[in-house]
Amino acid sequence: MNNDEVLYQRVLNGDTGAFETLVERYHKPLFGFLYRMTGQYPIAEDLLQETFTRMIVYQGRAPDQFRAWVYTIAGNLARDHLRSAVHRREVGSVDDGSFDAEPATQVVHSVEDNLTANADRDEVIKALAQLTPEHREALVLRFYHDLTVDEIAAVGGIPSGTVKSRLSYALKRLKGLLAGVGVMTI
Amino acid sequence: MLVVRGLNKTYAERSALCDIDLNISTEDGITALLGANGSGKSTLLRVLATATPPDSGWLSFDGLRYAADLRPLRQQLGYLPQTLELPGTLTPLKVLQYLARLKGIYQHDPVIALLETFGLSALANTPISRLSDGQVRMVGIAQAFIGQPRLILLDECLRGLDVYERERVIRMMRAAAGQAIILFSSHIPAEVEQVAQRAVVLKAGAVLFAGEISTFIEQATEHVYEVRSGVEDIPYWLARYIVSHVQQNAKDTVLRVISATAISDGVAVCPSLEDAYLWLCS
Amino acid sequence: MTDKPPAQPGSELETLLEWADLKESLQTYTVPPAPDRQALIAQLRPLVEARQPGRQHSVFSVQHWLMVMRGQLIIIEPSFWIASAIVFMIGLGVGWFGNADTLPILLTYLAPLLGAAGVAYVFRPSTEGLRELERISPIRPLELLYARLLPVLCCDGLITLGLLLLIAARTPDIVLWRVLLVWIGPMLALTALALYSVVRWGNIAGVAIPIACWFLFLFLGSQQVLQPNMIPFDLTAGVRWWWRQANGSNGMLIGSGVSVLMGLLMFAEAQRMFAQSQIGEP
Repeated sequence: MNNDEVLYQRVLNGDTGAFETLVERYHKPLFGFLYRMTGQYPIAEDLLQETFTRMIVYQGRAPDQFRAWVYTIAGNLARDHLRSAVHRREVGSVDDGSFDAEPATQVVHSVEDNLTANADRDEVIKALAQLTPEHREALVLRFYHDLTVDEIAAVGGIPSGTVKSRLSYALKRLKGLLAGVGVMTI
Repeated sequence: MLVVRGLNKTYAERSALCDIDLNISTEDGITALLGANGSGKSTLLRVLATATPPDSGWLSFDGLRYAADLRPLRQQLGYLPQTLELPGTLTPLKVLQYLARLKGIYQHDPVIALLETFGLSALANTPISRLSDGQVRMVGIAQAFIGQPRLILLDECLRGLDVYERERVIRMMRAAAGQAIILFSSHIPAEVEQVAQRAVVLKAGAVLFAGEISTFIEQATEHVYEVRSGVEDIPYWLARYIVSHVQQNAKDTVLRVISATAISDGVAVCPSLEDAYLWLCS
Repeated sequence: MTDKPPAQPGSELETLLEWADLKESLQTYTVPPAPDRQALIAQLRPLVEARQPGRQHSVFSVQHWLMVMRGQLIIIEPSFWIASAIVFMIGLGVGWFGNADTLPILLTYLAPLLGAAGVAYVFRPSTEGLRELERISPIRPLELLYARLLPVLCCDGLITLGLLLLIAARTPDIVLWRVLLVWIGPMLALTALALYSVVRWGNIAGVAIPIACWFLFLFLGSQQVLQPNMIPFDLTAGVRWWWRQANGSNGMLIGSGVSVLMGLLMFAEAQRMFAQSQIGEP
């Protein structure tokens, strides 16, 4: 049986094959999560490497739910980055935690981005950037990665009820922002 | 990627490092740590080399946390302390072998290769006590490259070297720069300008600037002037302005003056790194 | 499609997901292709391999200790082994060609010197310069300490054991196991005291303090036991008395046991101080 928990236990014992399998499974999803959280390709790339590194050097008991655990690592790293002074200095924003602040992330598309930018996508990016990291994280994990409410709760270290509140608020806020720019009608 | 956030370090109730934030990646090329004596350069390098713990802050290298992952982190580190006194009875070969074995490297070839790269092959079996200061320094620099570390921290690595030794070291740094983060300290802007692509400028333990050297230099644009003056007027300029360079010619003296406001008697010139450093630190 | 009104906070998630328009909009946010996976795997593979049981630095692994000691042997120069061999040969010569009392007396007075000198040797000032680099190596400070001390102490122990065996061979009425046990306690305590003194106060203290304590112990003990007012005081008579007691006294065995405990306590404290000193505060 090659479920994630078994594979990870083997990684902890130095099994490089198990490690490669886990990377193949989580490389793209984790990158997607980190990219949507930070909005910057180079940062997402660095945090992706750091997530896998943390996974390898971990010295505790293997987690019961690997998927939630690995997203917890990635989520912590993303939140740390968004709150760091370096990040604030680079994007020139004052407060990343307020709905009323300027966009918390400056979206930078890498030159390797071959996808055609359309107006809707840009507006969605801007709207997501208006959310706090915690709300953005809940939304991204639910919609793009199909994590359950309980898994999202484990990632954020919060009760399930708080996850539902955050999702509800995030969706409401997002809907308002997107309606305001004509992406959707209420 | 080297990530530093909120790093603080105090020595004897004096703040040596104050709220340092840095992001340095291998793509950045060679990064210089520039600052006056006592600005915190050596302290920062010692903390990054895990030679001393910070009082607070978050440090990681390629995902390895300084607090939690010391052993794998140290496996990837190379460090040259500001002062390194090697045992006089040991030879360069033995010193490098010893330090290589501390990293778990027992093969002979990597050590021989390093001796050759740093021009120490002929001195491999000469006791350290019989080497010149520059040669001893070269041994110290060579040991920082043992095991192909991915984070190389060099404290005043070019100090005390002759021209050929400097060239060797710079060449080695450039060769390693693609695969490793190289951070070296200096208080000589001209040295930094020759070697580095990025700079972190420290003043009183805080980061004054971190970024491309060209950007740093640009900050002094329109603040550097060349002024021709008679010898008798030099005290005037020295008393009122920062003067980065004085060149005495047969007929007059040319001063390189740094000023916040335009100098009507002077000609605006392109700033050098030294000018920018003096401007920013004034 | 008509959207349902926004659900109240705390409602079931699936109600929220019926906002189809929002979902479609969110799905326009695609991400660029992820970075090179194989490069990431290649970069991180060494960290995974380091977790393999045979590769891990377990302090309980004999292979690990042999490797670390192999590194430390470079610090122990050939002159140490030559000097040790000379001491042993002198001891053999005295024991073989001298009278039956000479070697025991010599051993009693000089054996502590061997232990203290050995400890002081591995911490000699010339190795201070390497301390900073040892501090940042992947080897833990205590592993370094033991890996460096063990060869030296084993050498001293073998010399002492060899000479004790010679004494036992020349003095048939000596009960070897008793003498060995009585000997171990004070030697361990003195070596621990030497280590403690070196770490706490430096090399000179590391040699002087244990020797001074040992001679004081011999002198005071002898005075107590023999005629206190014997003038002139005969140290050899005292030593002879001690050897006779070592051969038959249970009290001395107990005393030796107490010395072992004291030695272990001092070792523990010396270890703690050594590890603390490796943290690297100036």
